[in-house]
Amino acid sequence: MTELTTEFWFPPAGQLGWFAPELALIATIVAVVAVPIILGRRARLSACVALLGVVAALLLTGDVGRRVAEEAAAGLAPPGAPPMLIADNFAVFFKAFLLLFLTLVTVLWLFGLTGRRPALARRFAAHSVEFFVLLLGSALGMMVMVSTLNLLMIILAIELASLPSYALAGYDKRDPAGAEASLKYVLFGAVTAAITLYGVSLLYGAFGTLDIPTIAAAMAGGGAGVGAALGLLGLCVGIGFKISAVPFHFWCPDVFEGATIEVATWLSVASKAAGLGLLLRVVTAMGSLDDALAITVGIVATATCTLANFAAYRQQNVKRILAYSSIAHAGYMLMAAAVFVPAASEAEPNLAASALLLYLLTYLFMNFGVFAATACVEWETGSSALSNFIGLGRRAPWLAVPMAVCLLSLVGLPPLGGFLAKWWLLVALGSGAAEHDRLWGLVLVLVLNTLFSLYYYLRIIYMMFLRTEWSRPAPLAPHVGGLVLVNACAVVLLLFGTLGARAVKLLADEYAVHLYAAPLARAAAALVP
Amino acid sequence: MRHALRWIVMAGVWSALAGTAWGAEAPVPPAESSSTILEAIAFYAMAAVALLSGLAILVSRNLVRNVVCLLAALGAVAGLYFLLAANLLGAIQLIVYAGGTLVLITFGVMLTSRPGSDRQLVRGWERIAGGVVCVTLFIGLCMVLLCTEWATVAASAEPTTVAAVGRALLTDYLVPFELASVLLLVMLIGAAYLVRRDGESGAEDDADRC
Repeated sequence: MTELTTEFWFPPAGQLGWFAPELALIATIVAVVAVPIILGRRARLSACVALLGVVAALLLTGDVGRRVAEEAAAGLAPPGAPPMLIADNFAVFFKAFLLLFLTLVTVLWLFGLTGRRPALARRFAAHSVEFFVLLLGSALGMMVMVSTLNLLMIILAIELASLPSYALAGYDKRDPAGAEASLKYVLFGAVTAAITLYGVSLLYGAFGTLDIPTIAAAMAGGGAGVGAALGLLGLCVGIGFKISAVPFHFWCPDVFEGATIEVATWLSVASKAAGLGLLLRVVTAMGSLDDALAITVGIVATATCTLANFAAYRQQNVKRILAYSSIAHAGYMLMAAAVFVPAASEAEPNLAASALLLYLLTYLFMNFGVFAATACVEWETGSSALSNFIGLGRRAPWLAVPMAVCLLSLVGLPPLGGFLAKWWLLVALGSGAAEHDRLWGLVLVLVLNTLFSLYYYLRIIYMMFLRTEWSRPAPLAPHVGGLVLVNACAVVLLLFGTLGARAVKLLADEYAVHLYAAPLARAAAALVP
Repeated sequence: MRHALRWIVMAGVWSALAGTAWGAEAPVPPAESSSTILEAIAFYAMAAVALLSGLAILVSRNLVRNVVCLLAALGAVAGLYFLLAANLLGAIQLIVYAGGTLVLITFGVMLTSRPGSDRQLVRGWERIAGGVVCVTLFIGLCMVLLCTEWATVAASAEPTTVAAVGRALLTDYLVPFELASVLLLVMLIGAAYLVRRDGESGAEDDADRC
């Protein structure tokens, strides 16, 4: 007994402190379960406990961010081993991003309690505890996804992010569409998880280690074989599923249509952000590898945005259109991962990474704005069919105008944040193209796809403002909280595109430094006693 | 078409068997003692059982028969683990998969299956696409099997791996171990929610206080 306790490794407080946001989220999960036992099961109580925990985690992330700015990076590493978890500025950005979005989704859920028809709202309120445990669990998984380079942790994190999402997709148990969506999601997820695990087992078999930087070093030393390539491919399948890149995108429209609007909102941004963060980490760690990985990512990105944009043409449900739109945007953001031309020095912002972070930040607001507006309509009318949006410009102008702003930002039109996001992505692609000519192809794909996407975004705007109905449509009284959220998003997008453009770019630049594995390795070495 | 596919799969499995045999031949030291020969015989016997029962799962259309074959396959793989001196892994394989999961599957099959409900709704081009994917994957895996230099680990001198696994879980792999516990907690709650049949009255009781 005594022998065992001396061998037992408990992470020292100094190391654990870097991962306070994750610990806070775990504590919140426990609190969400425990508080109703003491104070009674009330929907608002669960939501408020969750909200408090998430905001606390967000503040702690800010604190970690300040420390990262001083010390560059740190890791949670068992003695004499590479770090299991990493805290660097890249991870801090994604954690803050996910927590901010989680706050917004929680607020949207709270508004849904009063915005929905009472019978429906009661049904959702009855299971608030389970909802928030699942939501926080998937958020925790996504936060771990972006802060690790260990294959075992990656697998666990992807599962922790996915499994609760499957249950969330079927959250409304009396809705057959939700059950179907959930089942489809589970089947796709199970197959891709199996392929990912198989790939990871190949990598482990070939290199005898789970640490990606070690594997990358071995591959650079000439150890790259077919097994390693197939293993990496398997890992990319798992990541591709999370960001719904094209061969693995089939679950996305069905899940968005079948799940409740809050869940669809959460998946549309958070799942993609976490997947892209993980992908960028893996790609930069494997930077010494030859171009095969970058070319694969580029081809997948092209297929993703082109197919999604054409598939969106025929949809009659706004949630389905938005699902394809989110796939297309995942494709645009994948392009940033295909560039990875290293910056002049580690301390200099990496153009591609900076473009990705800026795009994500803008995407959060424009996508959340559109989803919140759709939620307002769905709460009132009971469905998100495109026909419910006819004449919305007159029925509810305070909803229709900001929604149109968010949609135009999704297209990427000039005075809005979406334009600058696409612009900086083009700049990154262009500067990469100076070195690899093939990137000009991606520039062309991005520009053409922006044109293709114009049609289906403008179709919604046309329905809202220009389409006239024979009968005079009933006025719509959207939920006030929802209105505030949508309008706030529109204002933020206007600011991003005009006055705040410089500040946003500087913010993205600040978090796009020290991307490479070298400072992490140094930090890990410093932590080993 | 289905017969053709079956033959392709069968050919694939047999060549995989041959490939495994080829791969297993390599590490055997040249000095042939009786124990290595015994080991080889045990290996081939269990590999054959695993592959044949795996094949039977594919070929048989009867769900109950499939489950029995799966039991044989899982048991044979457990035997392979024991042969590799990974006795904890072998025991887990038997207890969790052969004992737990399989019984669950059996109950699931028996409680839900209806005669005639296992008809395949697969179109022609889907079969072709599936066949192409399978053949490509098979060729890729064969190449991996033959071309990769696998990292080899020296056999442990300890009689059992239980202590080593326990130590690893509490030192090097403490962080994933704890993360897995969070995963299990969250999924337990999620699963309990999904399978619970909430009667109208129970839900209303909860909801009135919202």
